[in-house]
Formats: sequence, C-alpha cells, structure tokens
Amino acid sequence: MESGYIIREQSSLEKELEGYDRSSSFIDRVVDFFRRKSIFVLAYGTGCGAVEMPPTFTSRYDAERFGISGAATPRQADVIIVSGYLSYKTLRRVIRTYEQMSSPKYVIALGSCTINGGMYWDSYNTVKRLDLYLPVDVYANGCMPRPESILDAFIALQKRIEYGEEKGGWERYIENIDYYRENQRAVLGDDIHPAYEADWYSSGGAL
Amino acid sequence: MILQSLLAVVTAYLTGMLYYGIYRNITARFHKRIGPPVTQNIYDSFKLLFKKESTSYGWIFYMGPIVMATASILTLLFIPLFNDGEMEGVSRYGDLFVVLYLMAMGPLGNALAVGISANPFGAMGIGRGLTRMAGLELPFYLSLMALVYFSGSSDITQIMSAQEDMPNMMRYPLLFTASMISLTGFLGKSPFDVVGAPVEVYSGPASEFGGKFLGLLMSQSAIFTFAKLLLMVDLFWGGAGSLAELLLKSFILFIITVFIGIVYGRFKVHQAVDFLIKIPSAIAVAGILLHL
Amino acid sequence: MTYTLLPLFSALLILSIPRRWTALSSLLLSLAPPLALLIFGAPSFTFHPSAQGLEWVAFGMQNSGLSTLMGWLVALSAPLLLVTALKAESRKRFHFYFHALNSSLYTLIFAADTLLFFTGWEMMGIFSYLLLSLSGRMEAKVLLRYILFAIASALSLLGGLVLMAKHSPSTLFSDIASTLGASSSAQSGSLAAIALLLFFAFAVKAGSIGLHYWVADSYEKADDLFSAWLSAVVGKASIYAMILFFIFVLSIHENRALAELFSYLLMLVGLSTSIFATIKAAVQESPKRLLAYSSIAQVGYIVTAIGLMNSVGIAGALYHAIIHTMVKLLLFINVAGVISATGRDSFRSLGALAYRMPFSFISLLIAIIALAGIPPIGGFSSKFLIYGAMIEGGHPILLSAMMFASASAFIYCYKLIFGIYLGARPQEMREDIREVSAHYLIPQYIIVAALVILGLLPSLPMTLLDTILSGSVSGLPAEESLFSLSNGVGRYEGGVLMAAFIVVFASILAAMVSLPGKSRKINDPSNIAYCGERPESSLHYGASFASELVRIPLFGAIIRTRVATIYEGLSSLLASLSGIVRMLYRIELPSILLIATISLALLLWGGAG
Repeated sequence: MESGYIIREQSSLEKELEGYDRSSSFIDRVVDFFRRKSIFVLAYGTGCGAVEMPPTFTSRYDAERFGISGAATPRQADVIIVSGYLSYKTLRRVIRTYEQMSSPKYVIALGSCTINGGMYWDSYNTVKRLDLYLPVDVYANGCMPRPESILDAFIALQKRIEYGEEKGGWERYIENIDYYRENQRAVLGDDIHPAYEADWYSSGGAL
Repeated sequence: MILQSLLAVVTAYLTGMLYYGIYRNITARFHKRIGPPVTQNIYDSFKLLFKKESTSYGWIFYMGPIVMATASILTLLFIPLFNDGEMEGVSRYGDLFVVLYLMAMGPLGNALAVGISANPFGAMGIGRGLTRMAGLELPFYLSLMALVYFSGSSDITQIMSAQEDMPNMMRYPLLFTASMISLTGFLGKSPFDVVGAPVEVYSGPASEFGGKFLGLLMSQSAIFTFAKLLLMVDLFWGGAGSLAELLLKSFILFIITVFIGIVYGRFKVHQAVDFLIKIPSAIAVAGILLHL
Repeated sequence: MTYTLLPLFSALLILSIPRRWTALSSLLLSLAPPLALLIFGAPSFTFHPSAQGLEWVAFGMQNSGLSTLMGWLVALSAPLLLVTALKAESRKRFHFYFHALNSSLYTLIFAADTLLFFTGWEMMGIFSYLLLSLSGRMEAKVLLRYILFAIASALSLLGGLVLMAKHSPSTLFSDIASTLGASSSAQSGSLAAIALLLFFAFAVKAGSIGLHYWVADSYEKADDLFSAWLSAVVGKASIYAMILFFIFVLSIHENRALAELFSYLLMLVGLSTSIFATIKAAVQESPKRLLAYSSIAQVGYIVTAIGLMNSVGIAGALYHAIIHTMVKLLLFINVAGVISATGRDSFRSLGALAYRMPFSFISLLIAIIALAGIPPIGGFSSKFLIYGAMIEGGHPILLSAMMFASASAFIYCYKLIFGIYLGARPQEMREDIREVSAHYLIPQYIIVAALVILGLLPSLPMTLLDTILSGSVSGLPAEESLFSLSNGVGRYEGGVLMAAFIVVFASILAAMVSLPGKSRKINDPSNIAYCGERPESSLHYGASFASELVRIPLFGAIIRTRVATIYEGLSSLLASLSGIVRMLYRIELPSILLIATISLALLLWGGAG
C-alpha cells in the first residue's frame, strides 16, 4: 500500500498499452516477436480456477493456435497461472516454483481471489492480494474467468510483450526482492527460501 | 566441404522444424481443432535460445546439450544427402556403422547433464530412455544389418546405388516394416514415446533443462529427426536426386510414423521393449530368412 | 627363458628389499621386461634334453607375432599398475606374488611346447589364488570356488594337451600341429575330444556363461589393484590360448565339419555370454561387480569374434583384447581411487563426486565412451572390425544380437558413471573428499591418451595384426593410411571423425556462449522439489538404477537366473549318488543283498562272456 511503484491499478490493458513506446532496437523487436509467438504455460493448477484451464487448452477453445502450449517443469515454462485462491501452503510452493523459472517470466492471475481475496476474503489461510508476494503481469477478472477470458488475458500478455513493458514482472521482483521477501516472511514465517536459492539475484549470473 | 556441411545442417534444421509444425497441425486436425502455425517450433526454439537466463549446474551440465547437438549434427553429416554424389560433404569418410553409433552418442551425452543435476526423476528418465533405446535397436539393427549383408557393403552410397532398379522397400518389405516400427520409436511417436512425452517429462530426461539449453535440445531434435528420415530414405528408398525429391520422400515416411503415433496410446517402457524384441524382431528375422 | 626368469628374479629381490622401498623397486623392476622386449625381442629357442626314454620331451619358446603382442600387453600394463601401487599397495607379499604371476604369464605366452604352457597355466592359477587370498575382504568360499574352477580348467587342459601329444614325436607345438594336420579318421574323433577339453579349459578362465560362477565374487572381493590385473591381463591368457588352438590349429584343419561346429559353438557361447552378462551388469549394486560382469561380456565379444574364424574377425578380436585391457585397467584403477578416497564401495553410498574429483570423472568418462564403443574414441574401431567380420562370415542375425548386447551395454556404462560421480550426494558421505593423488591419475591419463590416439589413428595396430595373421590365415585388407580403417564391407576415417567432432563441438559451444542470455548456476542441487526443506534421506538413485529391467520378461528371466543353481544342483546330485555308494559299506540286510546281487550279475556276465 505504501510503495506506489509496485502496485498497478487494474485498468483496461489496451488503453494502458497505447501509451508505451515500442521496443528499442530491431533485435529486441525480433526477440519480442519470438517471445510472444511462443508461450509455455506451466501445467500447475493452484486453485479452483484450474478447472477452466483444460477447456482453454483443449479442442474447443484451442489455445495452441496462439502458440501457447503446456510445459511440464518450471524450468521450461514462461508463464505461471495462479488460478484462483492460494492458501499459504500453496503460496510457499508457488513462490518456489516461480523462482525456479527462467526469466523472462510472467504471472497471470485468474479470478477475484488474487485481487482482493474474493470468496475467501475472511479466511485465515488464504492470500488476499497476490501482488504482495509475487509480481503479477496480467489479471483476469471473474469467478472463474471463462476460457474466452483466459484467452483474452493471453492476448493481452502478448500485446504487453510486443509493445514492451516498462518493467516486466520478473524485473520488478529482482529489484524489490526485499519488499517481497518481507511480505512472504510475514505470512510464511522465517523458514523460507534458504539463501542458496536467492543468491543468484545478487551475483549477476554466469556464462 | 564445410559449406556443404553447413547447408546440410541448415536444411535439416528448417525441414525438421517445419515437419514438426506440420505434425502439430495434423494432430490438431485429428483433435478437431486448428493448431499452431507451421513455423511454431522455430518460434519455440528461438524464444528459448533468447531467454535472459537459464539454470545450469556447472560445466558438466553445460556440456550435455552441446554433446547431444554435436552427435545429431555429426549423424547428419555422415549420411549422404543425395544419391548422385552431389553435396556429399564428409559422408564418404564414414559408413553405416559409424552413423549408427553416432546416433547412440547423443542420449549418452545428454545423460551426463541430467545426472549432474541430481534430479532423481531425470536419472529415472535416462534409465528408461536407455532401456527403450536398447529395445528399439534390435529390430532396427536386424533390418539394417540384413541390408548390409544383402548389399555386400556398409557404405551408404553403395547401398543407395544398389537400389537402381528397385528400392529396398519393395525388395525387402518385411525388413522395411520392422525398421519403420523402430523408426516410429526413434522419432518419438506413440506407442514408444514414453520417454520424451511432455506429460511424462516429470520422470524424463528433459526435466532440468530450461532456457537456452532447452532451445538447443529442441533444435538438435529437429536436425536429428531429419537425419533419421534421411537415413531411411537412403537405405530403403534409393536416396534422392534433388532436394524436392528428398523432401517428398522423407515427408511420406514421416507421415506414416505420425499416423501410427496419433492412433496409439503409450506403452510403458517394459511393455515397449517386450513388444519390440518379440514381434518386429520376428518380422525382421523372417525377412532375413526369406532371402538367405 | 629370460622373461620367465626375469620377473621371478625381481620377485625374489623384492623380498629382500626393505619395506619402504618395496613399491618403488617393484615399479622399477617391472620396467625390465618391456625394455628387454624392446632391445632383445621375444625369446626363441628349443631345447631337447636327451634322456633315455624321454626323447619326446622338448622345451621351447617362440617369438611369433601373437606372442609378441601378448607379451607387450603384459609388459606395458605392469608398470602402469605399479605406479598406482606406489601409493596403494606396499605389502611385500603382494609384489612378490605379482611378479611371480607375471613370470608365469610370460611363460605361458611365449611357450612353444605343451610342458611350459601347462606350467605357465598352473602357476598363473596358483599365484592368482595367492594374490586373491591377500585381500582383506575375501571370504573362504569365494577362494575355494576360484581354486576349484582353476583346477578344473587345468585338469581339462592337461587332458587336452596329453591327447594332443599322443601321436606326436615331441611336445613342441610345431610337431603337434603337423601331426594333427595329418588326416586320419581316428584323429578326428580324438580331435573333437581335444577341442572340447581345451574349449572347456579356456572357457572357464574366460568366464563363459555357465562357467563364470567364480568371476564376479573374486573380482569384487579381491584387492582393488589385483581386480584390475585379473580383468585386464590375466583374462587375456585364455584369449591367447583360444586363438592359438582354435585359429592356428583347428580353423585350418582339413576337417571342415569340426571347424564349423566349433565355430558355431564359440559364437553362440560368446554371444549368450555377452547378452547374459550385459543384463546382469546393469543390476549390480557395487561398481566392482558391475565391472566384473562387464569383463565377462567383453570377453564374450572376443570369443564370438574368434569363433568367426576369418581374418578380419581375429584382427577384431585381438584389437578388442588390446582395447579391453586398456579400458579395464583404467576403470579398475579409477574405482580403486574412488574407494580409497571415500572409503565406500557400493553405489548406495557413493554419488555426486564429479565436481570434487574432476580428473577422475573425466578419465572415467573417456573410459565409458571407449567401453561403449562410441566414435571417435578408440573403442569403436575394434567393434567396427568385428561387425564387418560377422557380415563377411554371413551371420547378420548373430551380428544384430551382438549389436543389441552392445546397445544394452550403454545401460551399465551409464550406471557406473552415474552411481559414482553424478546424482545426489548420499547422506553419509564426508564433506572433505578431494581428488585422488597423481599415482592413480597418471596411469589413467596415459591410457586416456592412448585411447584418443587410437581413435585418431585406428589403423595403428593393423600392421602388427596383419603379420600375425598372414602367416597362417589370410591377410587383412590394406589400409590407405593410418587414419582410415576398413573391415571388408566398409571404411571410415578416424581423423576426419575426430576433426568433425571437434569442429562441430567448438562451434556449438561458441554459439551457446555468445547467446545473450546468462546461465545461472545452482550451487546446491538439493533444491529440486522441496520448497526450501531439506529431504531427510538422500535422493540418490544410483544403486537402483535400471532395477526396473526385471519387468521385461526376457531381461527379468536373465536377471533372476543364478548360475549357482546349476552348481548347487550338481552338488546335491553328487551327494545323493554318494549316498547310494555309502550304502554298500554298511553291515545291513539291504546292502548285503545289493552286494550279493551285483556279484551274481558280474559272475553271470563273466561266465557268459
């Protein structure tokens, strides 16, 4: 609530995107072309919204024609869909999974539970704002969003990639890691993510 | 020679990728949906190659996909592209035995990378992969060794030129059948695809690869597919005289395996090996005994 | 006689040198035979002691190409092993028995008469037994098993040699060969018996299927360095003997039917040994047992190649023997290094040593590539020759079975490197394990260099092999250059292969490195699926790797058969037979009646006859 640069207002994506510049160089545009034409979604249904994912990916609504296909392990995935509520138990695993993914990586949050707690707004055990713990790129409203909405979210993500976002979700996570960690520790306790997992954030990578 | 090799690699890459795209489209039509554009696999592999970061476990892990890609490219380079001696590259310095063993080098190189990642699922996948490979190779070797024996030479160019009047698939139909069954498995199609199938990958060899390593693996898979199809075209269909003929013949062989793959479910590894060392091997042995 | 006496003298000298210098002096003394081979060459003499009634006794030593090749194999391997022994083995008795064993090997290899040959064979068995007994892990029943099989082999050999020398003027090999070569129907009956006896003798020592009962336990429980010697060098004695008899005597004999029969026998025994041992090797839980079964399988390939009885096949067999010696020496020394560094010898407690022992890892990797026979390293060339020979011999189905065994060998090759160097670290492993000392690494890297050179120049041994073979069997196809190798049905160029490999590898590596993405290194691989919690038990999969092979019916049947059942059945049969005989010695009515019946039957038969 304090740090305004992290919280995004949920607004219509097309309107927001028209304000942005396109990516700078030709190489960047080519790479963004490849990135938006091929999206690997981690096959991980975290909440009850996962029931809307199979219709999206199978014959009737056919997400594959947009280049979206499933990936089995987080190492291979670009996008993790947080499909609904997250209990704190699952939140620990989702954070872990998100950190195992390779950047550029995106989070698509489905349903109203990720925005304000939704149906479980007064539960002791679920996440009320996903934004505090993970950087969300695209929200899809609804309880549950139908496959058409999910496809709309993917198209919005593709447009974001094409027009070049100001700061991608993964970049916000690296820059504000302390803020996110603090929030995570507040709900999960101190027993999260030994240093070895987060060491690389400060080491800058290798070959 | 280097230029020819480079052209062969680029052709193999593009063709393999397009074939996979067509395969995804055909599968999609079977599922009553549209499917991705045919160039989808190229987009996938380039996206992966340009990922901003990839997880690695040290230099051994780095070497794994590189060795696998080297094995695929070497397999391709040592198979003659055309049957009239054009664009032969380095293929006249190797023969069928070299090609068969180079085919086996890739998975072993990759297995090193999987092993160092300490993921037990990956190691399990390697065990399954090696077992399945041993099973696939029995009917394949039976038919190929029979071809070498009947043609009197293990040089692929000579086997191609021995098919001037009649391609081997007509002369030795049983051998062709046995080797096509093995080819279905080698190309990763059902019923023998349990090792590399996406949903099985939790217990598969590719579980720890991401980013540019996965991109390299996908690219070498395309090149390797083309190399295997090229080998089958050379050995059983008399090779090809021009690029168009080569594309047509390899595409037909590819489509046969695709159609088999779409229809069948997956065997478990021990079922697959049990099937392979009984029925296709019996077919191949029958094919040999008929002509002995 | 130099080569017999020289190591014996070294052995005795070692006994008198103080213990501090034992290993070093042993190493220096072991350099004497190769130097002698280089300067003086192989021995050659015949000696007839002219004693009354013993005119047929003759001693001799030969310097044929085959003996020289085998002699070089022993002579060059001994110093390599003793470099490691500088660090690992300083017992006087070990070095004494080791040199005595080598002396017996030289006797056996250079012998040109049956007496010296048999002496060498027996001495080899005895000194191997003594060396086995030095091991701390050895059990009495394993030793007993070893010596029983060695005695069986020696007795059978004696029977064959005696039958062979029956009609010949002297005990020299040349005389025996010319006598056997003369055709006569009585000869061919006894020739079959001779061949069978000798085949049994050599098959026991080569660990052929059914007769391999002694191999796995002996190799596993022996001292690490002696396992290396047993597998790499002592096993080659039986190969040498097989080639000597089955090729230079039997395959050129006029009795083609017998030659063909034994050809098929050798091939089938060799192939079934390979397939059986390859599958068994994949389910072992200790690296030394895995290597023991691998030795059995590789010697099975050599026996199959000998069974082909054509020139390319024998060249392939000898080439494979050379490569196998090198590779097994490397592998066993590597495993010895691992065992000494970690103190553990089972896959259950080994794992994830690659980054802590990188040089051992690389040498094992090259050894695995050579063992599996993958180009461009040297192991492919011998397989290439054997495969071409099988096509020439007209056995495509047997060839496919052999290639199938070779493809299944990838499973145990990978298990070896995975179980020791890759995978997750077991709980009980110490943190402070470091690379082994150079004593282990120097012999390994010498062999690695030799394997790489053989991969680059695969025709390097071919001239020597050609001289060995063109004496009696037909010669080999000519090679264009040292870089290319041909096997009768095809050719390949080792140099081009290796150059292509290096160029492609380097270009892909350059491309990967120049990609804009960075790779982030995970330092602790136990972060896989546990969300920050450390797993309680180790996730290492090494010991049970490939254990699911039992589900495949054919492989499961092979894995579940125990050759011990045959021998236990045999011994219980003998026990029941002896129970019957025991009955004759009791003072009871049934036994008295039995004796009376037998005596009556003999009387009647004697009376009728």
